Amino acid sequence: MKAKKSVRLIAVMTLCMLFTTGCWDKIEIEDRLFVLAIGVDKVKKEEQHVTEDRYTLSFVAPVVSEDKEGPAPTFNTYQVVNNSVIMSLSQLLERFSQKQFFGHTRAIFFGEDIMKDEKLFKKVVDGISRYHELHNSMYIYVVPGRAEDVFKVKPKYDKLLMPYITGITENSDYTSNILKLTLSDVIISLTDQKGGLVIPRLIPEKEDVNMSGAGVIKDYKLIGYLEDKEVGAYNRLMNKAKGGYVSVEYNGAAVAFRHFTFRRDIKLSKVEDGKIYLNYNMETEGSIEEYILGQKILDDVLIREVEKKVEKNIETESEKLIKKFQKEFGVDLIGVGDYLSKYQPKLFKTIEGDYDTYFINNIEIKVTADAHIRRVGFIR
Amino acid sequence: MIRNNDAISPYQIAMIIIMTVTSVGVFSIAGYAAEAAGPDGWLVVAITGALNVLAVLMIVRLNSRFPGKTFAEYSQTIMGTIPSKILTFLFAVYFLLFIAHETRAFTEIVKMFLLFRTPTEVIMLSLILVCTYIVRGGVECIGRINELIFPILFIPFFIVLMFGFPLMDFSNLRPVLQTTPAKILTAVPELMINFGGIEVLFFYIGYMKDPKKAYKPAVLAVIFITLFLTAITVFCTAAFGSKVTTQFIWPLVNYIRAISLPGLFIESLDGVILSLWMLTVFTTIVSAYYIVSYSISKVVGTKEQKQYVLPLAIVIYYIALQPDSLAELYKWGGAIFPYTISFFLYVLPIVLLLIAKQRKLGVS
Repeated sequence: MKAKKSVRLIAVMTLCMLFTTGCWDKIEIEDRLFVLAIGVDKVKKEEQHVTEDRYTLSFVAPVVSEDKEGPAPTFNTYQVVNNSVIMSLSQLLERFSQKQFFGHTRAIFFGEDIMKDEKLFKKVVDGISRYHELHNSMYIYVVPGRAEDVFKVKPKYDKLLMPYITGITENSDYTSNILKLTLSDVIISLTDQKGGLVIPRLIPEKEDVNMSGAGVIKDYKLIGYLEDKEVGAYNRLMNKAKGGYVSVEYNGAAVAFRHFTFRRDIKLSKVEDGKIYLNYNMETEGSIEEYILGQKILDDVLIREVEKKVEKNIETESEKLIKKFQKEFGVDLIGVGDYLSKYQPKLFKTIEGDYDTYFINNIEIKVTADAHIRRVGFIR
Repeated sequence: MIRNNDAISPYQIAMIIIMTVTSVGVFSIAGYAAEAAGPDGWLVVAITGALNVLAVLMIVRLNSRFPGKTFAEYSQTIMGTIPSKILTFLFAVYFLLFIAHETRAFTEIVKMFLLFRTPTEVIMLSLILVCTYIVRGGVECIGRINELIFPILFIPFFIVLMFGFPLMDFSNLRPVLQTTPAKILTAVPELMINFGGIEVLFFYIGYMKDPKKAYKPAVLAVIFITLFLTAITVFCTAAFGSKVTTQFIWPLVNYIRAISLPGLFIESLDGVILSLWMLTVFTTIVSAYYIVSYSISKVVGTKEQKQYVLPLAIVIYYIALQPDSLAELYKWGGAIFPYTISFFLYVLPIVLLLIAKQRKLGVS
C-alpha cells in the first residue's frame, strides 16, 4: 500500500515537471537592452539602402557593464534605417547580442522633416501607440532639424541623457514655460482636433539641450513654432499651467510675480451677428518675489497696482497668442471648439460643418485675468 | 439529483453572479459604449444593467416556484421531457461556446503582452485544466472559489482604478444627453453581451435551501456589476474622451497603462492588468463549465457530472482554436452571443413563468 502511494506521488511530480520546467519566454536581465529613448527621422537620400527605406531611427541605451573606469561613456547611441518604425526597432536584434526592451522607454523625438510629411507622421504615431511594450506615458518632442542630433548631446550637468531631458519636462509643475506632452495626450489631441497638436520643441546644443517653444501641427503637418513666452501663454489658455513666473515693469523696476496655481474658465458671453463672443477668465494667486531694496511693497494699494500690471501682462500675452492662432496658423488648438462642443452643443452643431473658417473669422475672445498677490516674501 | 453537501448560501449566489459576469467584457465595454452613444455611453451601460435587474427578478421568481430543483429538472415538469432536454442541451452548447470565447480572448491578450513564444496550446490547456480540477469538486467548491476570489479581484481592481484619477477630465463626459433616446435604446442589445453569464442562475439557485432568499443577493449583485461597469465606462471616457475610447480594443487596458505612478516605484502596471484579467476569466469559466457538464449529465441521464468534465476540456480547447484571429473571434462572438443571451435571459424565463402560472405548477 505504502509503496503504491509513493509510486503515485512520484508519477504526479514527474508530470508536474513537464508543465513547470519549460519556460519559453524567459529572458535574463543581462540579455536585455533597455532602450531609453527613440528618435525618428526621415531617411536621408544617401543613407537609403533600398528605395523603400523611409525612416532613420536613433536609440539610446545605458551601458550596464560594471567595469567602467574613468571617463568611459555611460550610455550608447545607435542608428538604423528601415521602412517602418517597428521594423527598425526589430532591426536592433540584428546588431546586438542583447534583446531590446522598450518597457522603460521614456521619450520619443520627432525630427522636423517627419512632422512635415503627413503620411509618415501618421504611421509613426500609429506604430508607437499600437506597440504593446511602449508606454502611453512617454514624453514626445519635436526637434528642429534632425532628431538624431539629440543623441549626439553629451550632457554637461548629468551623467545620462534621458533622465536629464525628462527631468526638464517634469519641471513643468514649477514653470509654465515648459510644455509637457505624453503619448496619450498626442493620441487624444490628434483625434479630437482632427490632426491638430501643440508639441514641445527641444533644441539640441553641444553639451545641453534647450527646451523652448513648441511646434504647431495642423492636419498632421508641422506649420510653425511658438516661441518660449508663447508656450507660457498657451499653457494658461489651455488650463495646463500650474506654477510659474510673470515679470512686470513697475516703478522703473522689474517685479517678479510667482504663482503656484492657475485656473482658466471659459464662458460664452454672447452670440451676435453670427459671431461668437467668448470670455476666458483666468484666476491665479501667488507672491511677489523681487522688488527694490529699501522700498516698501507690503501695502495694499501698491499691491493692487502690481496685481493690475500682472493681470494686464497675462491678458495681452494671451490675446496676442489667440490672434496668432486665428490669423497665422488658422487652427483651433486653444480649446474653443472643445468648449463649444461640450458646453454649447446646440450652438456648435450649427457651425460644425465649416468650423475652421468660422474659428478664424467669427470667434472673438476676451481674456480677463484676476491675479491675487497674497505674500511678498520676508522683506516689508 | 442533488447531493447532501451541495448547498449554496445566498452570499455565494451573489458572488457567483458577480464573478461570472465580470469577464473579458470589462476591458472592452467602454469602447462599445462610447461608440454607441458617445459621451452618453455610461448611460447605455446603466440602462442595460437596469434591464438585467428585471431579468434576474424573473429568473429567481421562476426558480423559487420549484425549490431544490435546477433548470434541467423543473423544465421537465413545465414542458415535458423532450423539449426540456433540447433546451438543456442548448444551454450546454451556449456555455461551451461562451467558455471557448473567453479562453481564446484571454489567450490572445496573454500572447500579446507577456508570453510571446509560449505555445497557445500550453496557455489554453493550463487554464482549462485548472478549471477542470475545480469543476470536478462540485457546486460547493465553485461557490467557495467565487467567494474567495471576489476580494482578491476587486480590491486591487479598485486601487488600480483609483491611481488613474489624475488622468481624468470629467468635462469629457459632456455634452450630457445629446444622444437621441432612440440611439441609446438601440445600443442596449449590443452591450448585452457584456452582461452575459447571469443565466447561470437558472441552475445555481436550485442548490439553495430556500430559493426565495436569492432575490436580495441576486439583485444586489446585478446592481453591483452595473455600477462597476458604469464606473469603468465613465473613467475611460473621462480619461480619453469618447472619440479616442472608440479607437481602443480594450480601453481599460490603455487606461491602466497610461497611469504612471509617482516616484516610479513600479513603473508600469502591465502585470497587474494581466493578473486581473486572469482572475476574471478563470471564475467565469469555472461557473459556466460546471453547468455544461451538469447539463450534459442531465440530458444523458446519468447521476454524476464528474466524468464529463475532463473530456469537455478537449472540446473547449478545440472550439477555442477555431477562430483564426482576434477579428474573427469578435465577429463570431458578435454573431452568436447577443441572440443567445437575449433568448436565455429574457425570452426563456418569461415563457416558462407564463406556462408554469397557467398550469399552476410548483409552489407559488
